[in-house]
Amino acid sequence: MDGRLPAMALKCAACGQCRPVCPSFGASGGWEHESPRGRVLLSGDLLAGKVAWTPGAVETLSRCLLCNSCVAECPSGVPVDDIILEARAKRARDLGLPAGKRALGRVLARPGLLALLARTGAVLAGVAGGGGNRIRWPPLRRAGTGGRLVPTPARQALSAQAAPRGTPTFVFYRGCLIEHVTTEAGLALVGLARLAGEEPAFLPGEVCCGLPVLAWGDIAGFRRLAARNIKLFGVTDLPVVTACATCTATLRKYYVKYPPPGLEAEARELAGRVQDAVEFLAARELPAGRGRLGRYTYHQPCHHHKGIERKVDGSALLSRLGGVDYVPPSDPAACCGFGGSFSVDHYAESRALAQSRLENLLATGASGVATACPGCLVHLRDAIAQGGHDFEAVHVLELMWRALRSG
Amino acid sequence: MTAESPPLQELARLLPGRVETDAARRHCYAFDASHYSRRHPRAPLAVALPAAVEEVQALVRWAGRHRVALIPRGAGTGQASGAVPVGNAVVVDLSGMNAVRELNLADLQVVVEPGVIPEQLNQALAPEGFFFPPDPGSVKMCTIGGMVANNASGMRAVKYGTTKHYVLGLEVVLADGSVITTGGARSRVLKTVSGYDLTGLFTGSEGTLGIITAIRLRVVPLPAARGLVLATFSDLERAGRGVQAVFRAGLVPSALEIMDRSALRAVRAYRPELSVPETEAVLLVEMDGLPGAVEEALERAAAALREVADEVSFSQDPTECERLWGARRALRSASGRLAEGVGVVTAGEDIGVPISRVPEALGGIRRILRETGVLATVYGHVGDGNIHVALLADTRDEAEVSRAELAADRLHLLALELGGTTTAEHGVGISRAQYMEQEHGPALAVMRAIKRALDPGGIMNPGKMGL
Ligand SMILES: Cc1cc2nc3c(=O)[nH]c(=O)nc-3n(C[C@H](O)[C@H](O)[C@H](O)COP(=O)(O)OP(=O)(O)OC[C@H]3O[C@@H](n4cnc5c(N)ncnc54)[C@H](O)[C@@H]3O)c2cc1C
Ligand code: SF4
Ligand code: SF4
Repeated sequence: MDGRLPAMALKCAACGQCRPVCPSFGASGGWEHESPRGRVLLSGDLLAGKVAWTPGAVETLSRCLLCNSCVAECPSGVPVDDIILEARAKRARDLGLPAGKRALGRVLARPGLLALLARTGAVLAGVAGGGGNRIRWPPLRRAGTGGRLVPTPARQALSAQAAPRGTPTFVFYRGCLIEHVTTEAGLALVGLARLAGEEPAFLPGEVCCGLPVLAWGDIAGFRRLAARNIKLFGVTDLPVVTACATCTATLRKYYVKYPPPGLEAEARELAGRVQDAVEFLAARELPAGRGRLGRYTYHQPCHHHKGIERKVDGSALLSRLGGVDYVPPSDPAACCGFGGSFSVDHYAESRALAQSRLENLLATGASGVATACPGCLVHLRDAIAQGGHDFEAVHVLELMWRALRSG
Repeated sequence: MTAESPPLQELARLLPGRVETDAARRHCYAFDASHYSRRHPRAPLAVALPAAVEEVQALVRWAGRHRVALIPRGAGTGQASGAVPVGNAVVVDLSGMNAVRELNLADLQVVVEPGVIPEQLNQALAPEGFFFPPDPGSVKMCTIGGMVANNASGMRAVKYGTTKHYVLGLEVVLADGSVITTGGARSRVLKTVSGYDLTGLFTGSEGTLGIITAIRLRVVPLPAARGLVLATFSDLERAGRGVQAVFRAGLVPSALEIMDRSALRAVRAYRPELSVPETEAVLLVEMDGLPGAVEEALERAAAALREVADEVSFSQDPTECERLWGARRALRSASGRLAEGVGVVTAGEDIGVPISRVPEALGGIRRILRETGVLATVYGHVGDGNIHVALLADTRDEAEVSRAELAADRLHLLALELGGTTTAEHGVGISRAQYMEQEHGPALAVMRAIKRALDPGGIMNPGKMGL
């Protein structure tokens, strides 16, 4: 363990400023232990051995979405995410990982197996589950009441859908969801990049960015995944572009904070080369969109602006699009409640958060919301479908692509 | 008593799903924002999260039956250990009772539950052109119940007064489980002299006399304009004289704040984009009112300050002002950014002195810090003589912590020597109970008599305020 961490918990002035911004605190009805401050003080004392594990402690730590809303708010600069990750790592060491998490960790490390399972729909549904919530597969269109609506995985992986044309100018790091689920967003990036005179390379053998594995406290497993990606992308010095806010934050921040042993410098080098698709396109010339797509609002993914140094703002792309009227939401910073495995382990809270986020977005009067993280996208689509709203959630890349091709 | 003991099982049945007995989760309630609670964490037997006044009554009756103390708690941002347990106690967390019951702007008042956060109330009032003026540094996260219980105030107290000036009436659950409404059972008036001032008695009682379950508050029209004068000083005591210069110019600022060199460094570390000056001290003077009047007041304040300050600048840009105030509010927590490995030791942080003695107090504070060798930021609502000192220490280092505690004690004594108070707004709690005798003399016996009359069983937040 990083010996500085209990010290980082001591930095916490216990001021409570993080309480009102924490989505899981809000969803809990006001319990201190569900607030960032509660988690920091508890984690610090768990790590220092002053408090013993209880079922409540495990549960409380698992309810953090790692959205970093608290980190962005904290005046003392407390790295709440690191402290919670270390406490979860201690939980994994002391109490072991649930079998489902261990199995999913192995799947995420093996691209072939992941592809196979994505096709059969087992990843989100079965392996990550065990939380008791009902996930129905393959629905979004078909599932009825109550259960979670998750998207049907793409029939073909993104990298199989987009044939290479000529010499690559950047590496497209797809990550799990863009490669297997929201492939339209990936195709849109390919199309947009080509309009800007850029050509993607799909490196075979990339693995999951590792955040889900890190999030449940398997730091060694995370380092193994990071090592594979760092070595893979080390063979080139092209920019590495992602279309997922979580992948961007993970490659830039957590690879550097939790580098695989011996690859510290390489992790930093890669972090400097990673670009979010939003930044990549913002810096390039694109033709003006011709079609009129109507009013859209924007959901800023937490991983684009909270607790990170290089912030990304996809709404700038929307405003740049000729055919879209951009209406900002009254609360631009709210979390959608996805939180990766949080949404699997605590679906009821996760869904309640998505609903309140959605209400704020619907209040703009827009006909849809764009975002830049496939996690937020999948989660908002669930909430939209559950509520039967005539409202679209779309990746900002896909919306841009539509604007440029229509008319 | 353990979770399995019959009284706690009975408690769990009173509020199904909203009583917590898990040991690790209870541990989270051993703390508020005080140093004392970090140093001596004591977890409660259980925590209850009531949703309605009837549930609070049931809790109080239960506590009376089983002789268990109740600790009312808002957001736990108090800095005096007021909301943490002493002995066998159950914490009553009021964060969940957060409805705005009435927005009655025709009568210039609102009725809120104790868990409402003041900034959220102000967000609801702003479109109507009103506000609730008291603005502690914790305005974004504390509760109005906690503000009333502590009679909190903040930067605007110099013009708008403290929380008590806005409390028109309270709904309180007493130690026997009954409920009273102070300020007139059905009243919606703005003033009354009927009967003893029970509203005033419960305001600032720190949860020792009853649990506040609703608050009727006066609200006032939002000023049309605000502006800010920033004056820099190469000498801290001279900044203290700047305070008097502002009042002598015939002005009532809506805020008058000081930040010393270390405080400025902490703000720079927290919000580098604000580019606050590097100097010994700054005074921030806010004027509010009608736009023309604000402009004139700013000019007069600037002229008065030029006599004593090195440099004077002003701004009427609302976003710029708000960003500066935001950084100022976060100063206590941001102070920890001054050095690696240090945290804020919240003790001795809230002294108040007569404003004529502010320069002396600032000199005295510097002397104490020098002699004890403690790093600190000094800032505060100097316009009403309230000076905050955020002592810093590596809290794992016993010697450093003892030095900070010694400094805190000396700061309290300094305040009393200068005809001041050990706490101008944060409250007594456990942290300052030891000074009550010295600060109040025989008046403390009257407080104890009131406490006995209202809470003969001693179940309401015992061990606080030296009662
Ligand atoms: C960064 C920071 C800045 C601050 N700045 C200021 C400032 O400028 N001015 C200022 O005055 N204070 C300030 N404070 C102190 C504190 O925030 C205020 O006193 C605040 O009003 C406390 O509210 P709370 O809800 O957190 O109360 P808590 O800390 O939860 O409780 C405080 C006391 O009130 C009692 N209490 C709480 N709710 C009730 C209730 N419903 N019924 C009965 N008793 C109750 C508790 O038992 C306890 O004794 C600051 C604190 C921090 C952390
Ligand atoms: S990361 Fe998000 S969910 Fe976790 S404690 Fe911070 S604000 Fe709450
Ligand atoms: S984590 Fe930061 S914001 Fe939250 S209580 Fe601690 S110091 Fe305050």
